[in-house]
Amino acid sequence: MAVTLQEILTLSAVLFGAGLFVVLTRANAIAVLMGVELILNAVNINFVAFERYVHHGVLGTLAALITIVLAACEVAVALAIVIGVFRSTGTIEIDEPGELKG
Amino acid sequence: MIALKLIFYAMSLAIVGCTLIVAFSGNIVRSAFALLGVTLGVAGLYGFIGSDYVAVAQVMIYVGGIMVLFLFAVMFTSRIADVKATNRAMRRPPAALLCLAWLVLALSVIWTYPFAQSLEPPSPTAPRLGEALLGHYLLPLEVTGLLIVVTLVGAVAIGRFRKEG
Repeated sequence: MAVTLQEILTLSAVLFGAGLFVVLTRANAIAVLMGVELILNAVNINFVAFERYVHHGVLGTLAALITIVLAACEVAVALAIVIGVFRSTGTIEIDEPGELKG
Repeated sequence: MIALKLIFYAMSLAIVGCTLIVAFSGNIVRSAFALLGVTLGVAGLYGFIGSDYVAVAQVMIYVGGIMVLFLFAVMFTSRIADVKATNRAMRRPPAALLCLAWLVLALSVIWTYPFAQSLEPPSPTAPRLGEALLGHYLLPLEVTGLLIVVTLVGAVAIGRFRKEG
């Protein structure tokens, strides 16, 4: 009995739920970004699994590759912003009182 | 065949274990290294279901690029000396409730929907992928490349920013 699509989708659902939990609970901005990475990984697993098991083309691989690139771009910009915020305020806790308040 | 199942379950266990460390560890350096384990495990999963190109790309971009960026940012921003309070968590009960609701919803859909599934026999995906990327899907490829250029320039511009006076 080979591995079924349902088992892979279950793994990806667990990964997505954990990523959601991390995004919702962490106070550190870098940790929140880690949660976003978990969510993107879960989505990628779904793309590739559906391609291998259902669609049988290259579309899932294409979508997964583009998602990986987007994740890299997102992390580069977000970490630059985080380091900039740390330099100007000394903290990256996302629940600290903000400076942008009007 | 049962060996395949066992390999898959071992891999899933490693991925979920590392994910739980990311979610619950109080030390952000440990979270970052656990995220490294998650991405490696996911790359192994891609190889396991026969998507070789994505597995290699995952290792190169995630492990070689994104994780290095994460570790750099962690070392740069949090005072590593006091590991006690580097990775605080807040409002855990409502978040846990929401995630459990998501899991119940997703699993009930996954295990009741009749997927017409048949695993494609593994074959090298790179030739087909190259033809698709330089043929019918050239525009998404070029747009992605443009996005990378804009992103890198933007990241450098933000990182170089100094407050005047």
